[in-house]
Amino acid sequence: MLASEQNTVFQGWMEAHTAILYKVARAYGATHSDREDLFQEIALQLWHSVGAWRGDCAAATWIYRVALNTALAWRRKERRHLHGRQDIEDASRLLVVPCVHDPRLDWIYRRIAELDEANRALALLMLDGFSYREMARVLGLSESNVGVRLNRIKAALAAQLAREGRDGL
Amino acid sequence: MDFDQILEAWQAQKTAPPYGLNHDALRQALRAEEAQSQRMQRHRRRLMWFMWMFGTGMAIWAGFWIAITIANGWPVVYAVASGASLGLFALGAGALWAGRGREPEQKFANSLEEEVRRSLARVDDQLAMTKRLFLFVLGAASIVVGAKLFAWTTVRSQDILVSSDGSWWWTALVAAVFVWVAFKVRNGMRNARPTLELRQRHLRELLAALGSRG
Repeated sequence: MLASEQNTVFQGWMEAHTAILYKVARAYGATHSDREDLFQEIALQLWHSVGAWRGDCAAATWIYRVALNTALAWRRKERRHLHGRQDIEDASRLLVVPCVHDPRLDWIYRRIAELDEANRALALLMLDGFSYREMARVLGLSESNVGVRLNRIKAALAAQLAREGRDGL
Repeated sequence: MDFDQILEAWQAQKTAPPYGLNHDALRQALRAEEAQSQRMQRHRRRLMWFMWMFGTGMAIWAGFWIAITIANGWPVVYAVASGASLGLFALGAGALWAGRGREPEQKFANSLEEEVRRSLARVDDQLAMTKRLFLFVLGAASIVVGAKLFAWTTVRSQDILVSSDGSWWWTALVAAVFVWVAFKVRNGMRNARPTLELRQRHLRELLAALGSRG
């Protein structure tokens, strides 16, 4: 694949699906600086992955797959050490934080952060409306395993919502 | 707040993203990545090319020297020495090849579990490489000794006059450089172990979390 072709596909993906990168970076990065670093890493891995995409699944599924793979394998200091990449703090900021925060989003991201790393991936896919089959394919789990895990996640979320409702939060 | 409201806020992220993206910074990062990727590919190609050229060249030259030795009826010791240096070059190249480890891949597996397994295999391999210092030392030593033996064969068979004092100094210098390089490599590998072991543990935990039923 030509470099120009690779860049065109990548730009198309970034225009249509940047939200996936934001979501994964926010779910797996503890601080804003971590999120920037992870966002950059995902974007770079996505750029590398363009040639490997055969079009046998939707672009969004592929992007989720690459983003989650990167997030789960990502360890901030190690990556820099291995690749000698430029520190994001030294460069211009990649992600610009908006002035307005949605408390509902803050709430759900806090709940996602409380899950283990594998279940965080499931929660993201569930919220984005992926089917059990698609989630199973992306994560390499059986559909029944996905079902069991999702039921637990949903139950935990419902319980937390009910508790906060009772406490008037 | 109920779950439907949360879903509504979640879906709104598509149209109103939680962050703004600095496109210039991203382009800059991509350009740096592209340059780094090309540099690494070039470096790998050059290294392979050099090893191939050097190995083939030395093997042809040693073979040629054996043929000349036999054809001219020179003492058999020179043919044996040339054959031995040829064998040492082959041993050196083989040991370096066996100890080289895996090349980093840029492919992506079909599922997260496969990807984690692949990453774990790579980390295992890197950790094993820290234990394969023996192969590196064997490979480098074979090449150094082979080159020295071959130089001796060439010089002696042609009756070239060289100062024996200079020759010993040169041997001592090569041995010192060799020991220094082996020491640096051993230290580098020893320092990398804790990071790799941490990563190995993390990946194993992740794999266990993905593999556990329910």
